[in-house]
Amino acid sequence: MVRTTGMNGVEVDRTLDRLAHEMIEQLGVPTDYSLVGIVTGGWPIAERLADRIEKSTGIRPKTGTVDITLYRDDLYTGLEKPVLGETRLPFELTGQDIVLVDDVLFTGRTVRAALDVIMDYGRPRSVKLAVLVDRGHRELPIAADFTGRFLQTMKADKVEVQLGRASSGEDRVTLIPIDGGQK
Amino acid sequence: MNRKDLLGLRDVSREEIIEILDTAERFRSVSERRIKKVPTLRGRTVVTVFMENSTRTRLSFDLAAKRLSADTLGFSASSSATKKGETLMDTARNIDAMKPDAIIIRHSAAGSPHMLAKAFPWSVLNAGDGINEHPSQALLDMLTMRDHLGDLAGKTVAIVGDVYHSRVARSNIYGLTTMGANVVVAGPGTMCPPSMAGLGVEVRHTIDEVVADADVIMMLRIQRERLQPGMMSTVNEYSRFYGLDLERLRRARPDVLVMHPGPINRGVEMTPEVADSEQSVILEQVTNGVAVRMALLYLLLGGDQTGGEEDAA
Amino acid sequence: MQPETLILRGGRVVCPATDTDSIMDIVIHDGRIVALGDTQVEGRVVECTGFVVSPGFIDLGAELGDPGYLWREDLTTGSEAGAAGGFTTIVASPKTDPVVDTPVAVTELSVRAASVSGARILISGAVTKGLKGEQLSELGLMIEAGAVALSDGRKTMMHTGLLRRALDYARPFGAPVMMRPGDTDLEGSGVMHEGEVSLQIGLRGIPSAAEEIGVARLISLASLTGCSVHLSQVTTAGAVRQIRAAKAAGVPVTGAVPARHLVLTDRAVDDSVYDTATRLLPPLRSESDRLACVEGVKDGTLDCITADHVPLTRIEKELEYMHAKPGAMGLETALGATLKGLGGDLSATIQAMAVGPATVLGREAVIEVGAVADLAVFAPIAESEVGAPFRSKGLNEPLSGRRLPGCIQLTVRDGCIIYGPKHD
Repeated sequence: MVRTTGMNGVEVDRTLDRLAHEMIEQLGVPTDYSLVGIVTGGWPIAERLADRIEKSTGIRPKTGTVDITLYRDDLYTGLEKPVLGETRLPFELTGQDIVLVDDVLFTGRTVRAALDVIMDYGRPRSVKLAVLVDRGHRELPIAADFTGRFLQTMKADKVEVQLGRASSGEDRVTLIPIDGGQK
Repeated sequence: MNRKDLLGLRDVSREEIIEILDTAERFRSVSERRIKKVPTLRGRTVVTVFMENSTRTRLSFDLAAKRLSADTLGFSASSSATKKGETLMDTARNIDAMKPDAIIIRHSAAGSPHMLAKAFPWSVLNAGDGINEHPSQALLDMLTMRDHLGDLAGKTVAIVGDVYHSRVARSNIYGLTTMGANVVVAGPGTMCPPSMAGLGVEVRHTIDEVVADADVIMMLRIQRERLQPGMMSTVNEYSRFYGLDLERLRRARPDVLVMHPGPINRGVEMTPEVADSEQSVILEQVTNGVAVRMALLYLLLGGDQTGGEEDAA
Repeated sequence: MQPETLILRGGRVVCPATDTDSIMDIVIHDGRIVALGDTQVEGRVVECTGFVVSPGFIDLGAELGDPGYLWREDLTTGSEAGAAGGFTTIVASPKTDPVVDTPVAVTELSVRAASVSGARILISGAVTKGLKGEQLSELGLMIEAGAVALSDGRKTMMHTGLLRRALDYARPFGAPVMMRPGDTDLEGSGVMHEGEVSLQIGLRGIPSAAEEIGVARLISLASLTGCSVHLSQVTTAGAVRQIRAAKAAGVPVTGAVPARHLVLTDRAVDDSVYDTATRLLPPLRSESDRLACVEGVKDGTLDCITADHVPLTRIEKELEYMHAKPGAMGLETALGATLKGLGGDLSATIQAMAVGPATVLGREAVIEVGAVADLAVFAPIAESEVGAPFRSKGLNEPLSGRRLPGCIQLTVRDGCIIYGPKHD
């Protein structure tokens, strides 16, 4: 199986551009929806998407974050106690269209937990999912509505997403295969 | 924080205290949203054993456990088992047979939580043991102080009242000195003897000696029902030398924090005007109480020592 | 009593009463020492090379549980526990249920005590009826019935007027009066020594002043009445100072320190995390008190060591610290604790564990031809860990887990082996 090695800064940039345009196309006016980034990896992606949507349409969608630590289903099997991040939803959820944003979609458990957090805050009209990378190996029936790139991976591989500050030159997505070699 | 129990603040490090306070801040938001519950401790069993009367602390702990989705059970001093003369160890053995995850215990005998923690595998949270410690109270006090003062290092906290016999004072002294604060204590000679200096605090006498320089004035409750004869004379004399009234409050820093673990004896340790003043943060203490207790339950129980597969996204 | 001759061979015989400290054999026959030194006598030989041989130890007040507290101890287990600790004589405390406060009670207990196979048990009578501190018992009749001493059972007898009269009354009968110096009102609800540790761990304290006031009271009354008073548990520096001065002034007082107080301090309550085995009355004191007691034993101010044997079981100890009954078992570790606390000083140890108590009772603890063969043989330096199994029924040994010297090899009482490798 040919496994893709990852994405460099230029590729990440272009992918985010495309995602933003897809969202503008499908979701309509940015005032109608909000982007909610999943802590920690999804939040910078959500911010970058919001920036691009604002650049194209002149309107910036509302953004927020959800931290899923208290809702994880694997809390009792982790080796260390995970640090609690912040859930910041400075807008009313009920009746809103929400787009959950994360960097990597893998087993789907994080998204499930994020949905539970959202539901405890209110009753959104709809929830969609946008991810930078889908690396397969779903364990729950979860699918993304907006996907940046599909990566073929083995389950034990690691996928790291690094996002630099302002300059996209520092962005990269790295696939670290379990067998060490890259092909 | 990687411990099975929280029995006191005497051996808790600065890093652990910071971790607890930071975690408590996160939990404050749970109590402010529509659904005041997170599923973190779903399916866990938390038993409160309150062998001393207390409404507010017991409710605070019970609420904290419930907001974490844990199941709660309560034993109290008036339960028939205690009345029939069952020893604490036997009560604990019976509770153990129900396979709890944590016990929150308040007891008039110092060392009771330690006795249970040594003998049983479940987590023990000390909600007050005799005159020894009351760590969750001190932690919520410190969170309240931190909210207003930021870093506690170098700040001056005055504790006034029956300091020697107060578990709230002892835990606060341990926690605050660990965080680098200066603690000064004042009270009648029977309640605030010079030997208190052995805990690393400055010992004064009347409240007038401590109001001017304090960033925080913490008034302790005079527990008249527990006093031996000769510990103090009249309430009148007490409030004259050791009580906080508006006149004294005016001599304090304008942004001083006035605190009290509750319930207040209005007119004894403080006047109603002081309790309701702008500087009083007493109600914040109560709100912070639930958050701190949620944080403690989360840090003690919300994780497993068996170590399994790493998390998957 | 065995008809054969018993020979203890090659031990280092240390006998303060005769200023002896040399290697020699001891020949025992018919309950007494019949010869010392190199002998050619035939008999049952026990090798004692490398060990110390001293007069058997004497304890002036152990709680032996009979009558009334047999689940904590009985005469048999108490006697065996004593033998295992090198004790050949134990005076039973009258703090029983019912209290030993009549001549009939003394007689009955004596009969039961006569048949024990370990340490010899002697009886003491309660100064006041029921140990209530209100009415005098029949002191004369109890002594006539065989009581060797009178005791307040640790209760301190707070009515000073009655205490004075009790001492006036007891004096002509000649038996020692043994009292715990204290002040129950000042002791209050304290559960440990009042000091830095009690402040740190939030337990109510008993100030040294309570013992000092008790000692002052008893010294004054001993001086006033001329009655010999034995201070049965002394633990503070202040008390030691007062006793030293009193003795210099000729007041008829003697004092005993519990062996464990020479090794443990109040810090043990903290280190053990509120282990109720450390709940004692009098409580474990500060380091400076401990050192003063060590000094007191070495210079003779404190005449005796006591095992302060108060065996208790789970019923009394598996409770919260403030509710647990105070007391610890001690017969089996007294020698080890004393040797450790006194830094291995053999002569001071043996003086305090045998000669001093004997003197209080008006008896002798001596190794010489013609003396009763009460002997303890032990290893003075090698250390071993304190732990179960104990011969006492008690479960409360605060020295458990520590390494102490003084492992008893053999105990002989009235010429018979009551503890040892060849003991049945």
